[in-house]
Amino acid sequence: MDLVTYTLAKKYTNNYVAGSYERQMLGKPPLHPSRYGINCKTMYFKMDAGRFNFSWDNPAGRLWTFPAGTVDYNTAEPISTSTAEQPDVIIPEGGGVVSLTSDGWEGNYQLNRGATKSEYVGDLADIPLLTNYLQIENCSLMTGNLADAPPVKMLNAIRCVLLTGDIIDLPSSIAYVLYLQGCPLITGNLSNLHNIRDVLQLSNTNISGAYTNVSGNNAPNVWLNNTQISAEDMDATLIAFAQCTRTGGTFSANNMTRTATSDDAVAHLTTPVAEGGLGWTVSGLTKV
Amino acid sequence: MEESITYIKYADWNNGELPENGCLLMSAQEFVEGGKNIAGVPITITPYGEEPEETEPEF
Repeated sequence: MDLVTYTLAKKYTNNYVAGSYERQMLGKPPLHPSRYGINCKTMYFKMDAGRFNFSWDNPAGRLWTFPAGTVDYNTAEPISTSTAEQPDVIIPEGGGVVSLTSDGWEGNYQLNRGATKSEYVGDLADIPLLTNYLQIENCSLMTGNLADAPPVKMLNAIRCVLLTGDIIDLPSSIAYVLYLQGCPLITGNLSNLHNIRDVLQLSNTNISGAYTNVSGNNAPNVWLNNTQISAEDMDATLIAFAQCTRTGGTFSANNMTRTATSDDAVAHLTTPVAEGGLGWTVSGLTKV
Repeated sequence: MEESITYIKYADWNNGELPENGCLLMSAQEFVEGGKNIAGVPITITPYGEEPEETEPEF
């Protein structure tokens, strides 16, 4: 190892040690070392017994290792390692730790839970420095704070009911798709959420406020059902969306309210494009 | 999954109570021509009054 490499490695290592110490003192789990710039090629999945079916689509250096007693889901044959994109195995009674080794985490890759659900008992902090797509939908025993989400562009954590945190702490990298539906411990004011371009699904969360960080064609399909958004904030949100140019979208707000202030906005949003409107569907709002 | 919604067409509505998980369905034109004044009832508006497609997003 040359001097520069050694110095950098030491600096990163020191940063990791200091960062991990600080988090430990604050009662937080340590972040995956790659979050500190350390070239750590392995991540670990703490698993309960049951199905493990995560996928990782970067083939470079990919190697899964499974705890003793793991069997193939389809053949029931014992299996200890795999280089497949999406292994499908059964973790034995008592659970264990699955490891995934990869030459790189950053780039246009996806970590997807597949058919794995409550068997995964990991934490958002365990996830390495992914930069594209993380899908952990229905991992209902997964823990973590939104502040510990990796800097992906797309995050799907639907019904990860134990996740906590304020949406203000989400990485600004999440620019395209954000699904937090059915995460009742998620809080925050929508005015603190940056623009999400394509899809924003926040139904059945504890969020409030108006979402007005939209403009031009950057107005996502949005689901705000069963949230804490007031009628006045819903008005402001509808008015902001009506000032955009995107056509044919979905604005779903079942069991939510609005007032007469947003009458014109709803009319413009829903008027057919051929008649000068935006052709959206606006669902479920009750006027108060 | 979201709860299933029963849509009642605005033209067929008699100002009565909606069923559980019921929602009035109207076109943008119907909304402008009077539907916007209805309070206390959940409403879904689509450009031409068609039932919305199942749009629960898939990731």
